[in-house]
Amino acid sequence: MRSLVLCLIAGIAPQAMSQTPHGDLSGLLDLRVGAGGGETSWLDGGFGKLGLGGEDDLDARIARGALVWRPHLTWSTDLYLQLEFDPEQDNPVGVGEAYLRFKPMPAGSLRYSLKVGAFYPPVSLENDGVAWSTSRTLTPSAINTWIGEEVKVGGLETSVTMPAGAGHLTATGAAFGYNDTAGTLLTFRGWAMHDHQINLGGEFPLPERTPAWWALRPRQAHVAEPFREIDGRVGYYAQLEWRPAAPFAASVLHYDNNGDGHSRDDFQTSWDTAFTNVSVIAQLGENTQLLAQAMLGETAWIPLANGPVAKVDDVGFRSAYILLDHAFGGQGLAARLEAFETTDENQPYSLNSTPENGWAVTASWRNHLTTNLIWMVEGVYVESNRDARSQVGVDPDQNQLQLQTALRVNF
Amino acid sequence: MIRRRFIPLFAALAMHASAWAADVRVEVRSPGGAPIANAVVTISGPATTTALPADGWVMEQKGLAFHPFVLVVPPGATVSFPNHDQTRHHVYSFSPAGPFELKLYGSGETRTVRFPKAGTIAIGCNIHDQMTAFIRVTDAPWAAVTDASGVATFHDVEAGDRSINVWHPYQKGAPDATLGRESMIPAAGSVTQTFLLSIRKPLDLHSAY
Repeated sequence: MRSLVLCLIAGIAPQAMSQTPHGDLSGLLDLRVGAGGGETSWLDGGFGKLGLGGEDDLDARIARGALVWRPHLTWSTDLYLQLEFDPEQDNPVGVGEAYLRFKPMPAGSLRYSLKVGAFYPPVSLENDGVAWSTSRTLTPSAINTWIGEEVKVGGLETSVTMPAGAGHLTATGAAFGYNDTAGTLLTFRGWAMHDHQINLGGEFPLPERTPAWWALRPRQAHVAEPFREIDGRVGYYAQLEWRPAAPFAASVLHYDNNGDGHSRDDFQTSWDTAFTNVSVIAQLGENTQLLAQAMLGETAWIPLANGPVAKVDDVGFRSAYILLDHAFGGQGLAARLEAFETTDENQPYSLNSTPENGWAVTASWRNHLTTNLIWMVEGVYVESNRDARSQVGVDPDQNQLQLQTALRVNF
Repeated sequence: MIRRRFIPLFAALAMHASAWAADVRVEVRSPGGAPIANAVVTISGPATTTALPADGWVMEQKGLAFHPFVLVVPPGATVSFPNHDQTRHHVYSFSPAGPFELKLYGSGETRTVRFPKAGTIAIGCNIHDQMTAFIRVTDAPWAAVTDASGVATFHDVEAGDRSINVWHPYQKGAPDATLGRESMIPAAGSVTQTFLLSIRKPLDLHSAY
């Protein structure tokens, strides 16, 4: 994939540069100081739900750097290439999203667009900032954290927007691959809340478990590799979004990676994962916004294609959040409340290792110091119960508090 | 003595070149009393002059938005579209009153469009779907857009029977209809008119793209 991207850049650059005298570069730099209490973070091999955690986990670092190059190749075709720097990942430098977009001039009242490459499905309401960053909080909700870490697809997406009454209706459909392992982290670790996003070809750690537990899963590496094609089958998602003539929009999206549930490659498995996401955004006043999302899904794998039907892991997952945001005089306050749950659908063979439930509250303040410089302060409190913790000698009930402050440069 | 007394009177008449005129203040509010900005107020009727110049009109692109959101110009006006963003824009309209397309142009560049006939021109950007603005081309001799407090002020409107009309891009009902009222403009002083207008504002999505 990396070589493909490099070839794309090399092949397109001369033509693109000649047409873009002013360049089309944007990006961000996120400098952050934070502290997290409670159990060890999942990034360090624990079950901790947040990016920070464990004893005295005080941290000062460059949290993220991103550079987006968006040259126009023709009047109606552009390239989107997002380079990422995340020092917490094994490969700190990588490619976030990379796609070609064709967006012809509207034909009368209809607007079309088509994109080909690697991108996120249009699930998140929160990641509307530069380079798929969150603009209201530092930490996305559990739903959009999971999209960021495990639901990046490689494929083709097309959409059409049409008038509907005095508003608009947008229908989007995609056929994709490279997302066969989606569900691995949800099963092995559960939900989480952090702003680390998977790069193409990147990987995230799975929590440390007992040898007996791993013995049941001998062909699963101790890492998840979310951007992988394993079974050669095509997945899809379809979304309908309605924007009436009112300060309100609602959408529903269904995703199915159409994984066969058993193919394996290099200690990664093709999971059969499907979910439905409902999103609502409403302007409650001139400067007050309400965002809400709810997700319901299931992910599973079976040991053998033609073997016993018994699945080793069959996990139901659901989560919902509501976020209120209020802007005032160059500043903003956001508060989010969310709940999450995974269930063991593998009855009667439950190994009782995947169920969890929990809730979290997030409060964030931002101050636009200049047009390009934002100072943000955020607190996240999360409580959760997960039986699997007891298998490694940790109390199944845990709570965590994380405080962070960030200086974000958007350009 | 007599001469001295007449000097101030002549001076006053000279200063009020448009004699027999009054200031008109129009307030546009929602039925609930909230001020409505970006409403176009026009005052029509026989007039010897138009208050709107043909040139110097600007529709900026700044912060991935058009400024102003609503611009009112006379027929034949030339409007410039300077791009003050770092990214490029592709500005267009399909409105029958004045369709146009300004293909991709970058930061610091500008383009101009002439709008020969009256009507409403809805403007968009093909790169940034969230960018929207409206140009209302009117042959009314007096026209202005309400400010954040819902007020449009006109100076020296010629006295006589006039028709005051209000239009908003997000008004309920027919998109091109206007809310009108006949008003007698006095020969001096000022007059205030208040209009109640129902609008339905769509979601304003701010996107970084």
